[in-house]
Amino acid sequence: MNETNGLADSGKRQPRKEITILLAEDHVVVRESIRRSLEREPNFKVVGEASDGEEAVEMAKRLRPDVIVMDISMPKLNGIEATKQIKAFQPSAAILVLTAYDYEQYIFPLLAAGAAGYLLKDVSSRELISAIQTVHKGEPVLHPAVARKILKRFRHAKSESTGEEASDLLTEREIAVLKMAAKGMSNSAIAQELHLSVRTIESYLGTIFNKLGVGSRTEAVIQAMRRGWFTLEELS
Amino acid sequence: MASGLSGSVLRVIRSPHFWAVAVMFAIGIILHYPQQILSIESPSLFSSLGLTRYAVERIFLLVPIGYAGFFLGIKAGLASSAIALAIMLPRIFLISLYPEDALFETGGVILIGGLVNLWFYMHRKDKAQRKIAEEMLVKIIDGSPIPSFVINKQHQVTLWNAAIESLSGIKREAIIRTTEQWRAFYAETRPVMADLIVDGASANEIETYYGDKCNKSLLIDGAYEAEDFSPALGNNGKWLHFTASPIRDNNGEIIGAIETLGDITERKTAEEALLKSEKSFRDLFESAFDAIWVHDLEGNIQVANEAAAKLVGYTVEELYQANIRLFLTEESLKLAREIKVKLIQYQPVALPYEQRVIRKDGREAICMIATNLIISDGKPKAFQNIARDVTEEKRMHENLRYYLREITRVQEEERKRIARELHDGTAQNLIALLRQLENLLSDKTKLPMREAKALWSLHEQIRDVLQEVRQFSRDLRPSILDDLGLLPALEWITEELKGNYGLETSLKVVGSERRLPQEAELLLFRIVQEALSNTAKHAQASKAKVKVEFDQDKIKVTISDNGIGFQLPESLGTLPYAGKLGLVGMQERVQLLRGSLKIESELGKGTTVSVEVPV
Repeated sequence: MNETNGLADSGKRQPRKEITILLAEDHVVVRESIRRSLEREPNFKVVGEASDGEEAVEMAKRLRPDVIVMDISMPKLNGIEATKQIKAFQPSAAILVLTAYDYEQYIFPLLAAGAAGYLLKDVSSRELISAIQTVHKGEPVLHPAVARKILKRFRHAKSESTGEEASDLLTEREIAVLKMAAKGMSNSAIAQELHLSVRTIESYLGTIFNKLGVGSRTEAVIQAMRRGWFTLEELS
Repeated sequence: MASGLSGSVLRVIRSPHFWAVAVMFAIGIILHYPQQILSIESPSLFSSLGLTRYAVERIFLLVPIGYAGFFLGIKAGLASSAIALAIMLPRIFLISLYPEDALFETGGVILIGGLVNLWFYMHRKDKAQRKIAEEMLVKIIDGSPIPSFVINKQHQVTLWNAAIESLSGIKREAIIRTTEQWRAFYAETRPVMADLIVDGASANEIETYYGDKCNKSLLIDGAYEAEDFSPALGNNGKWLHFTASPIRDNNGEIIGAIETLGDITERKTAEEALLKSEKSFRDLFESAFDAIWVHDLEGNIQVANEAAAKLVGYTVEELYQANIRLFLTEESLKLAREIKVKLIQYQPVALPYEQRVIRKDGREAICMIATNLIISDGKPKAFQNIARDVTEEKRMHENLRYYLREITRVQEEERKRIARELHDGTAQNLIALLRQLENLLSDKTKLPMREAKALWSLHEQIRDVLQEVRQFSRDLRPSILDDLGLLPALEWITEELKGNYGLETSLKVVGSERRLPQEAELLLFRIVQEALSNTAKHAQASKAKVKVEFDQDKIKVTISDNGIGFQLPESLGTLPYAGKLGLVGMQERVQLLRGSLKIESELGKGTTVSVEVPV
């Protein structure tokens, strides 16, 4: 396995054949069920199971999974806190948080902490598998309406403008791809628009994620919003 | 005068005394001029008696003078003297050998006669005067409206006036000259006050008869006065005030006594009635359950009852002449002064008012006092306070509030616990079930179609149960309220309503929003929850509005709908609708937080619930 360490990594992130997954869930039966259902997928590899937040952080550090599926409420350290900590040393990790409420007031802190997306706890195995695959490909995990609401919030959130322009960091192509991704277009839609293949788009997204130090599309868009690269009007 | 003179002369002539005098003079003349008249020598008749003619003759000249003076008055006496002189003169000048001696003798006779006359005259005058005086006295006493009687040294009644006749019912004739004066007052023989006076009794002796009901008169020396009840008089007896004083002669010796009486029955009964009413008032005052005390304008206590003493923990004696400062704190004194100023200025005062007192042992007591102004001669003189100790009641009330608060807290805690259990426990377990089912169905085991379908159906049902459990949990205690606060919770609830009942609810926030104490947020949330639930279930409304106003020191939440409204009863306590009962329960909790809850509704116009809580 690659010992990538986030921003310093210049290598392209490829959607690999195998997706390494870390499960963090304190309810044993739920965790086991999830594992069993994930293991049925051919290119999924559950590399670890944590039963509390601290364990989750520790294992993430050690195992560097591609995707982390984490319950929001866990003993010792809750999901949001764990997300923050993991993101600190592994920005490229895509963290999916299982929440009891899809209420936006709860979602916002998740995403602010660096989660890639959220799923309701009673989400079906199929949906979970799909979500893991989607987030790994750089596709949007959030429902567009929810996404819009969330982005609105980030507009009002503290600006983290570093003074850098988008063009300082990203190529023109990349900016275009990011913008379209922010609009909510699927990878295939972007590909069609730019007359490129889906793989190419996925590859671009990978690079963008690396450059921005994020692990998912949502995070990338949020970052851009925070840095003041886009306005909501531009995205509508 | 001439007629008067002739009148009296006639009277005199008619009197037998006159003839006695005339006879004596006649004999005197004969004896004075025996040779001349009878041509005989001095009769020797009298020699056997040892008397000379001379002496006898003198007797028969002197005696008529005195006799006339005594019986016929001084004028007759003087006339007799003149006649005697006339009788004797011829002898002196015509017969007597020694006229100077004879003249001298005659002079002597006349002188003696004159003196005797004079003496008689004085005596008579004296007697007459005394008689007049006596008659006067009798007249006065008789005519006096004051019942009086007089007894002499022999204890005989000498005077019994008309007034005492009617008082005692004993006629003068029946009692005069008797010693039965006791009959008027007593059932059996005993001395009356006059009897004791006449006997010159000492103060001690008088006291034995009248006890301490009598005392020495301050006006008259030697007189005594007393008050006593005589059962014999009148219908039911009478109360008498009597004074007995001695009658003294010119030498100061007691020769009798006069007793005057007064019927004081009316006054006495009035006195007794007053005493009785005073006593019953006093009893009432003393035994009153409420504390009563009266103090002057400076706060000095003039009178206080037992209950008042008990209230403040001092004895009644300690309270007398103490000042109200003794049991009032500075703050209480201030309030007391305010009340008093208002009373003096005739301003309205809300009575009773609450006041705190400090007992002797330092403990505080709370009482409700009604204070009234006492006016005397048109001037404010004192304040009367009637107070009831309500410390216990207040404590109980505070306890009740405390218990209500505790119960509410416990109830909410319980709800919270159950909600969490449902959410973290039951819901999770259901999720686990769901996942296991999913895994079972996804396993590459060859499940027949029908069984698979059945299992999926179970899966569905379990999902429904999960939803229900989630809903229960949220209704019991939405964790969003605890985690995120009132406003997010209100947002959530309005969205829920839209989803569940199709009720459009708008949420408006005024002022700078901030987190409030958990108690307040919870209560406000519950009220909105209850109000909106009522609206959704009963009001048939299409729209509902929730307005939250953040003020500096309070928060106001208004929930209104455009539904059918309902008939508001007199007081919130009698709200009949089961749904409304939830709000009634809220009122108690609102009051606990020192807030206010108001419900306004008009049939056909809608309902508005507004709650205000200081924060």
